[in-house]
Amino acid sequence: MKKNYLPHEPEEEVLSAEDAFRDSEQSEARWQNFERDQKLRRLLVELPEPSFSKLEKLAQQRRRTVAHLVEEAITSLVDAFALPEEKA
Amino acid sequence: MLSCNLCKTQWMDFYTNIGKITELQIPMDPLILRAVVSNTGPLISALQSGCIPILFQFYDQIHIPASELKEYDKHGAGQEIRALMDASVLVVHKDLTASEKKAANAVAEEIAGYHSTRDKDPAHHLPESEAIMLMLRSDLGAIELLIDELAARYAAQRRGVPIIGFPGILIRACQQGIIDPEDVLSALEECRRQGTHYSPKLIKKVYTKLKRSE
Repeated sequence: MKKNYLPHEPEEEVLSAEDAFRDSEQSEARWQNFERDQKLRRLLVELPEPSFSKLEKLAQQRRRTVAHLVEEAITSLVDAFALPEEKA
Repeated sequence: MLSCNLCKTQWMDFYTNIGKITELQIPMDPLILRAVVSNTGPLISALQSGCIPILFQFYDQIHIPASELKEYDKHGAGQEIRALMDASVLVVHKDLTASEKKAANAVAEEIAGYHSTRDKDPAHHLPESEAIMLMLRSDLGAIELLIDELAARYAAQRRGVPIIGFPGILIRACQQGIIDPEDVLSALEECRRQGTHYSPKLIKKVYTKLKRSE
């Protein structure tokens, strides 16, 4: 038989359906950013300090994430070194 | 992750699964620890609906303040909560500093003072206030706060704390194909049957929208 649990603060008002969908959407975006940042952090953690913390500070100043900065840098590198036929 | 495997065997003793959930999935990247803080409500809802496995689809570690433990005991969930603690997937914090406690008291006063709050005793809102304090710790690495009560959500949002309620977690699970709209419906209805304050309107709206986007 399934166990029952007493409800938590059943007299208090809880979120609406709109809140729930907003929660879900924002959470999804947060976790995607988190995972991307964590993966990049693992790549960058080998950088001798203060390189990594400098990057973090720079990202904060520009209201970006380290992930965004690295993505931009890699995209520029690919653009710079790609052969003309690859660019096409 | 070892802790997740331990958890799996332990929660299987307590719950029957819902829908397609038959086992805990090991996180895609075992080096990434997905940590959150939870208020009492969402964990109770997850227990009521047998959805603890869904939480661990998304999170590896859930942090709670020690003040919530009494509440879990009161709700009849003490044994399950201790099993999760033993499996190291639930971390209890007894180490709030004096300044964090002071700030938590101020948050509790604020929550008690909100128009939407029925219980006007600030002492009864300390657990959620302490959960908000844990979220403000930069060294904890918690990404979001699991919280359903409207007033506590306002207090959290005012402090820039990212939040998600239990229905939002079910919606995420549904949108990722982990469960289907019928599972969401039955989970929320089961919570309601056990007295949790999800309105029929909320349940119907969530189900209808999920069903429509199938």
